[in-house]
Amino acid sequence: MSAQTVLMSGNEAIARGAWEAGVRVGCGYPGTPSTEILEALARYPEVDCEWSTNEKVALEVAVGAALAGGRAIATMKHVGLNVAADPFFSVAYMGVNAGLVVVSADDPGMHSSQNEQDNRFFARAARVALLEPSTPQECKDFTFAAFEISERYDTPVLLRTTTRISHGKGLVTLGERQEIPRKPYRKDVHKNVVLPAHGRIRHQLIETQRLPALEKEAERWAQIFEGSDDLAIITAGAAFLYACEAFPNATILKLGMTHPLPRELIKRFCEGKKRIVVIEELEPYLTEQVRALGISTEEIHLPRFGELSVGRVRQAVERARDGATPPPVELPPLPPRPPILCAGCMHRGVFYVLKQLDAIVSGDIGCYTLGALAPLDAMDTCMNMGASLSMAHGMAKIFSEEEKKRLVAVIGDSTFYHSGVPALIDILYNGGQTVTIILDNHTTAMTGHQEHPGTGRTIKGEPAPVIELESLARGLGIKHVQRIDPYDLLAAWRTIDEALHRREPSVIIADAPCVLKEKRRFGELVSVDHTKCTECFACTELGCPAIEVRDGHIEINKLLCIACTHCQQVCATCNAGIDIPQVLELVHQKRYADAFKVLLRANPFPAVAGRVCPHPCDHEVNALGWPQEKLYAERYPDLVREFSTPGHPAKLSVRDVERFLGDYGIEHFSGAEFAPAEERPERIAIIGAGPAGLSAAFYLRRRGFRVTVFEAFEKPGGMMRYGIPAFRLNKEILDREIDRLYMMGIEIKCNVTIGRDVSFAELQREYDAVVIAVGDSAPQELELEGTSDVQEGLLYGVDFLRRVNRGQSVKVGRRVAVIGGGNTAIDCARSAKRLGADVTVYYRRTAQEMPAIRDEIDEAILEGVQFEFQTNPIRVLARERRVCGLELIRMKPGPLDKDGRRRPVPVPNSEFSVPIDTVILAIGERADLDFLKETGVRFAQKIHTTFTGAASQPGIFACGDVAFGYGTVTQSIATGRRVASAVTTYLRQKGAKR
Amino acid sequence: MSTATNIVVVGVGGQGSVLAGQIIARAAMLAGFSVATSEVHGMAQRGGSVFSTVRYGKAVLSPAVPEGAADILLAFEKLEALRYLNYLRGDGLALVNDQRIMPSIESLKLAPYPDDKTIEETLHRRARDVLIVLALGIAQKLGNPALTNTVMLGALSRFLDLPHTKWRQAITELVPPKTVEFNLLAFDEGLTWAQRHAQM
Repeated sequence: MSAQTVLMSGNEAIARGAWEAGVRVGCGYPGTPSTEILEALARYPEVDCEWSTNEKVALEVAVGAALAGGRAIATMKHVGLNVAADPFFSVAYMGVNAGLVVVSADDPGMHSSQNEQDNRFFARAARVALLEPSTPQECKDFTFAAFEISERYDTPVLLRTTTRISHGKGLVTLGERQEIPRKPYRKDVHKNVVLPAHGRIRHQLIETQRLPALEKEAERWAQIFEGSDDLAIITAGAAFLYACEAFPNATILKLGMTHPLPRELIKRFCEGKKRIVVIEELEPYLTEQVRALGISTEEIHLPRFGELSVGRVRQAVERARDGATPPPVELPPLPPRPPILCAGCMHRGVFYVLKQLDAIVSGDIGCYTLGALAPLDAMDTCMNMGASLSMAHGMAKIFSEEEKKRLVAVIGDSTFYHSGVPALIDILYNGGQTVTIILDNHTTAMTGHQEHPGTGRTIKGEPAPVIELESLARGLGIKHVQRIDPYDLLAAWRTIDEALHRREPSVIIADAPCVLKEKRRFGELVSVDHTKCTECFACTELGCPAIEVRDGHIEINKLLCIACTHCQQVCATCNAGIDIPQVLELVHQKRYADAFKVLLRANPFPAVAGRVCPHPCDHEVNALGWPQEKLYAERYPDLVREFSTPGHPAKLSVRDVERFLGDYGIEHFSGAEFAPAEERPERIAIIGAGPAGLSAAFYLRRRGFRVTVFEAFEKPGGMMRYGIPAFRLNKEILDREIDRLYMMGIEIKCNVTIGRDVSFAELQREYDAVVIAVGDSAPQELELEGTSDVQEGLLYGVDFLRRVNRGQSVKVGRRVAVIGGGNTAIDCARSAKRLGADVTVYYRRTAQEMPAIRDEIDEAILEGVQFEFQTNPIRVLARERRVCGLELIRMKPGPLDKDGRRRPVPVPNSEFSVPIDTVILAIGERADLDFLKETGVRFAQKIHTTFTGAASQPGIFACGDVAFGYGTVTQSIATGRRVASAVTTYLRQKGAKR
Repeated sequence: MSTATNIVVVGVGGQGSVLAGQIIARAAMLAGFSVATSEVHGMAQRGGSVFSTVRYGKAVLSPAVPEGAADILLAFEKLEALRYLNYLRGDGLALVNDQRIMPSIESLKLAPYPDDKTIEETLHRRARDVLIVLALGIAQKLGNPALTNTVMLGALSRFLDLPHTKWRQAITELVPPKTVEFNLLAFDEGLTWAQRHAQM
């Protein structure tokens, strides 16, 4: 029968080689790129395999088996050998009985690791044999031979692969399993009890006998490939493959055993060679040893970091690009695509809550390390397996009480079994108070869903006892052990918050299966109700890949969403993107200062917003379909009583809560509390001190940047000051909230118009970034017959409001017509009413289509303002250049326009005239962007930006109405906050490049 | 070693590019070639950028495909096609699934997703031939977007010297048994599409 040839990965081939060598026991702990070795080995029924709790245990089990007389293999990733280093070094002295092979899969380039240590040094340091295969066939053959070498020389053998070798596939010719009879067990204390007296003898033997013998053996594992040119290469492992591809005509010495090195053979190989280069990945392990033999190898420029490639090898040797390789084409800037927590992942819920709580998070190794990435940004440290608990315990020894109240350790289930348990014992024993959150997703997810002591299954899929986390923690003596559902954000918040305030150690188990493994769907898919979505982007703070921004709008990707409800719980249909659920909870607990601080994370002007916001937060169901009103009523009857909506005693007015907290903040905080802890050198100019510009200033200053705001008018505030009439917003409140910004160290320069007093180019020169937030301050002009020669009685809405708000005298006639349907129109109407006029608002669409804030329209009606809907002016009538009337026409809905709204069209022959003394045109505002001409910044009516506010020129940003045109104070605030993040990212990238 | 056919397979983690690479390798092996592949595991499952190589020929030792050495860039996603474009030879073929998968919002804050015009222009600056395959559309028409990869393999087969029967055998062996029939159909649809649209 001819031998069978199959396509196999290096890892599968190692398993096959071990199996053919008659291995009896296989142990390991999952870790990329080693995991598949043991998975493949476990499929052979003859081999007793186990996922051990960690690599140290795995190696010790394997050593025990080998001493007992059965061939054994232990597999791990490179950093796993650090964990197993203790037994590894000792068994090196002891030697083996039956063959013992340790596989270390290194990860140059760190595809899935925290470092790229070079484990060839482990073999040299421990004085054991080291084999490095280059192909899957060699993976099998070397593993097979490693057992024989182990037994013949009484040494453990380290088989070292790298990611490319482990995960590369190639053809492998299979052999049969060799049944090796068990070697008899012999008690041999001189070998197997590592007393100093024994060790001294063993070490001597190793140096004088084992290694010299192995050095001879190493010659058998070297191969020479004769080439035609004068380049001679010494190499091994994956580097051999790159060398072959890069220099097909070179003469190559390929080493198979790289500890000990076949020194005599290397010397012979180098004799008479003109150019000798050593090609190896990571450390100059071979280079230094070859040079120590007195061989002068050529100085090449292989970096000690990163994975090699054919190109890098070729470049290092030739120091120039090979002519055969076409020069790379320049690519446009591409968004990166790093790995990300899956849509619906349970970890996201926990990290979101930790971010809400502003926790200091000592993290650990696993999928959940991705919680460290923006936007969750909810991990402070991650060092090595199991370190989260012990590091947190150490931090707590130094931290202040305030810091300790924010400190948590976060660890995965498998990692906890691996090495978290001793740390937890340490915390308890030594009087620590650390809060430990175990993210229990019922599997070892990162490495591809391996079983572990909590899953109830062995590596072979057989039933196993469950080492239950809760009982384990309780058994140790932890009093506070609680379970949370990571899909119930508020409940998780409450449990973690409570634990943080406790002065005792506690364990919280976040319990839910990995969604990638279970592939479950929770319920009805989530979709965005665009009539409600405020585009506050609060949901994007979850960093869920199913939440996308398309053309500036939030969309849920139906292919990815599994209806986990996280985003639905986060959405509060808040214009400013405030974390309303957390604010309400804190107010309910009467922690007003905390609540105020949470408010300020999204809105620097809560007292203003609490008065002028159109409060979409009072929708019964939020924009993602969550019954928020019902939930608030159920959770907080106390708040509903205190802050009920006028006319709706059972309905909570969130805006009233915000106003209460805003006023509380004015009373209790000066603003200096929010000054940055650390100054950054970068200077940022912001043009326009309206809600968007000031919001950007606030959040940039919070991050430590030096911020200067330029304001054209005499005082900051923009539309908050000059647009919204005093009867809606007491300007003293505004002043007090702006005072906070001064106290934080923000500079506001008033009466400075960019383009007139200071050129835009100057700002670009002097500042590291410029944010344009000039708002829509110029009136939209209406082409209306008869207006050109009118001198009296014709006003524009924004001008009118500005003059009223400045306290300037404004005269209107007895009969006032306001044209328009937005907030400016309603404010004008109500202001004119207060000046004693009879006011009628003419709007070309229906009442339902009016974009102004509903409450304000209702107030206007109550105040006696008249409304004429579906009516449009056609001509202003004037006598002696003074307005005396208005000719209007009735309108009806016409065809659909591109936004899906019906464009109003005139009803034929429906013209009519009314006597009018003053016409206020409030049909909208536009931005005055003349100062941007010739700057290269692209704009039409608005500045063209990305959804974050980056304009077409690097370093130039825009927010508020001039970029987004939402038209409310609170939404402008949200865009300011967003732009602050974009500026920060930009400056960070710029800094990194520098 | 220059007689090998070098294919670079790129996409987004979760799109199934690893399986696709395996099918190509299997088909090449069944056709009597020596084969080497490389892929990256672990993090790749989490929606990240994925890159793997397949090489086959008379005697192939290394799975490594240097930059500028791929005969074919098989891209399951357009942005990823650009990211790895420079692996392609100057006279190579870019076979790109007409699908955009948005990277995370955080990533898009760093750079926008390039528009189709930019993508195609850039592809053409490197590749001698560019074929944007409506694979997702074809798969959807067959009732299952998960068949996209197999449609792409069908299109790929138009440009490789591997017998149709070997492709069918490789697919039959490697896809889940219940889906064999649909996958074979998807493969043929892809092949037909490529035959109709390829000028080469």
